Amino acid sequence: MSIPVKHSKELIVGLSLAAAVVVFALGIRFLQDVPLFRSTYVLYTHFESAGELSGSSSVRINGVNVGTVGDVRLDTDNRVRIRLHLNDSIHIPEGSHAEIGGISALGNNYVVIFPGPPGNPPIADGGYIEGVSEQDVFEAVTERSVRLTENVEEALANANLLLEDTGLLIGETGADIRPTLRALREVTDALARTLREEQESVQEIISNVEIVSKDLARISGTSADTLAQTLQRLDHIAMYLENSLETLEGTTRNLDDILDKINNGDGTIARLLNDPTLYINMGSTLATLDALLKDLQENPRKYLRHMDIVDVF
Amino acid sequence: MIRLEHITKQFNNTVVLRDVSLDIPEGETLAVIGRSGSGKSVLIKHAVGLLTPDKGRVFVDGANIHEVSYKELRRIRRKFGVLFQGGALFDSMSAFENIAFPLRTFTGNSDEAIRRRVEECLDMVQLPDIGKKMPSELSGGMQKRVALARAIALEPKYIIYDEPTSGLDPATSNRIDELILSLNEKLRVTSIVITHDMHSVLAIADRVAFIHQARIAWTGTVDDIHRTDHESLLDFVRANEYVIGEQTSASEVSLHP
Amino acid sequence: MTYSLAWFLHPFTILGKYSLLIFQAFVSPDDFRTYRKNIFDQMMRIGVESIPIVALAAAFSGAVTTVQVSYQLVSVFLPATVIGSVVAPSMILELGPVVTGFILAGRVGARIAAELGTMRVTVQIVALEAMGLNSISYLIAPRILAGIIMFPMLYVAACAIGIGGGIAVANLGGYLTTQEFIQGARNFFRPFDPYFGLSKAFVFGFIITSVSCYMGYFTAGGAEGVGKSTTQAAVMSCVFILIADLVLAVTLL
Repeated sequence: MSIPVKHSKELIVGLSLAAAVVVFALGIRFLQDVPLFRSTYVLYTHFESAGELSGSSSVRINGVNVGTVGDVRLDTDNRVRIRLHLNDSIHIPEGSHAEIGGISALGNNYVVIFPGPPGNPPIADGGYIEGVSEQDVFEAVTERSVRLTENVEEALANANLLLEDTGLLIGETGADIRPTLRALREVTDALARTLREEQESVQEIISNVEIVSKDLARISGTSADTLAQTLQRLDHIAMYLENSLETLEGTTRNLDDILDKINNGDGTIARLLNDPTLYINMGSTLATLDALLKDLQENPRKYLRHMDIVDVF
Repeated sequence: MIRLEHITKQFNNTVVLRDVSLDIPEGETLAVIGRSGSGKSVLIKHAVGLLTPDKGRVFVDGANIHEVSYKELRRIRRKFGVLFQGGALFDSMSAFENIAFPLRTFTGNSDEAIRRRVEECLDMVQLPDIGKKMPSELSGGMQKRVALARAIALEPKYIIYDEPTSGLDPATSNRIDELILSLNEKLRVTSIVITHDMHSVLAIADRVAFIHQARIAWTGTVDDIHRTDHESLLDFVRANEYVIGEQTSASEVSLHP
Repeated sequence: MTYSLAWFLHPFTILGKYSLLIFQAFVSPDDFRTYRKNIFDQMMRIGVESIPIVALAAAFSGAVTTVQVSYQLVSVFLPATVIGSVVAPSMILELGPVVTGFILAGRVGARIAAELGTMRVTVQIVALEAMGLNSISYLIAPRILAGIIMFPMLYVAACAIGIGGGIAVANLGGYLTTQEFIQGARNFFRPFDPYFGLSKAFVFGFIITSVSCYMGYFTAGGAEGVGKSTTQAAVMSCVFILIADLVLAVTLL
């Protein structure tokens, strides 16, 4: 059948406009990662905060993409109401809940659905699924790394002050070194305590990050590489803290020995100074402590900065 | 009936028309003559409402065309067929399309009826087979004839010819004159012919209006021209005669008693 | 003093003349039947016949953006998908509408101005008026309508082809795979973007056709005047596209 010449222009114009409308509509659906033709299964949920969720963020179950976020808006009670478009073939049983996963700093949040018992009846189309709001892992990391830096810095400042005092005292023969040494011991003790605590939290962070990174690996190979680097740095910090801790504990033991000896009657400065081992012990202890503290003082920002994930990117 | 009353028009401080009044009764063929730039075209553009006078009024069939709405003015304009100097064919359309254009635009006629009317008009201007050609493929004379066919397509009550023979060779000019004459007889239209070609005037006009120095300096019948002692008109006619004398025989335009 | 005042007021005179012309084009049109054929003619000329050049320009700008983004953003910290995340939104938000606009300012704008300018200097516009047509609405309304209807269509084509060009070069040049590109495009896709691009195309379509109609309709001075109008139509369309681009970005984003 030939096209009547009179109407061919109208036909071509009509066809190109229709094609544009189709491409536009399908293009948007395609980029939103919504199935192009199938209808979707719609669920609603509430979160305290939307994080970086937006229309077209994905929805996952056990790491598998099952749909997209359709609409994010503020509800009347200031909570965030989110519409989820799930593949038609997915059925979410009653008793399931949703969480926000991913890393907001990467702009890569998604919704994770934790399915309830499979025996439960499925939630109807347009139904509601409970949203559980949890702190973003990386926000926690950032928060902790700041606290860690602050604590270590404070301890370092104290230690430094004392070290200066000690240095002065050692130069002055005849002075009673005991109070100074006692104070020094307390400081190293405190420092050790702080480092031990932080080591624990760093380890916690690392394990958290490892969990997240498994998810991240699915998002993108290369950003997972970046995370691996971050993790290595965190490990490095943890190791560093551990070494420092050992040194500090050693120092504390040495100081204890010295204090014991001084307190056991042969505690005069002259004896102390005459005892070559003690003197050497003391000197090396102080030197180690000094080196350690200097290093810690010069380096922590450089090292700890890597804990701030945002800086990595 | 077209009536121009006390038309005054100036462009950039140059008065082109000063208090010009003119009546064109039904069925008459009026020739408006005058030197180039004397305001002939300006006068005629007032008649169709293409220009608005600074002073004065224009009536077409009793309606003041500068007082009616634009929509009404456009309705009045459809009573006119205008043959422009250069033809003013739409160069994006073929000859056929050009003639069919007013029919398609203003009548609800079927394609078949329009085709028949276009062919009729092409026959009238004696160009039966050029419908498919584009204006650029036609000679100047042919363009004018197609433009004439377009002007008469809607069977207008008034036809305005703006320099129908200018720029054409004498043979083609004569042909156009004959065409105008035969159309006037066949269609019984009222015609206004703007020209400075006296040969043409004598061939087709009933009455002549001579525009000189922004006024209508002289009006009268064609026969009256032969008897006039109006200085400027005589100057104009003589200048023309000289040209005509070279082109055709001067005896045809014998003005001396 | 009066001279400088006149100089200052001149742009407003032009703006007024332009607005009145566009207003007259849409107020009191004749029968729709009169324009129907004309509208489809213009849609063909402005829209359909522009598809090849727009496709060419879009494909190349998508391809070039991909190559340059890959060149600039090569870093171990950045996933390859970032290229898709940059190219797709730039195409949708800026390159699609603006490249289409510039190409069509040259192609469509100059053509409209030349058409109307020639019609003006060869008395065809007066002939239309003398026939009893509203020459402004007959000539201008269909062109503007065709512009605002067909430009969004061309925009959609430009985006699709531009992103396609980007993907093609990403594959051929070994910068990233189709999947990575699409993944990146999806990661940062905001559904508002295409609508914003569409509004830009709509506005640019109006600007190009209306500015060019203005330039063409008021052509004076014979063939030279037509040349002048044609150049001015293309130049002024581009200038106003850039201004409108900024205004839209500031007001809508």
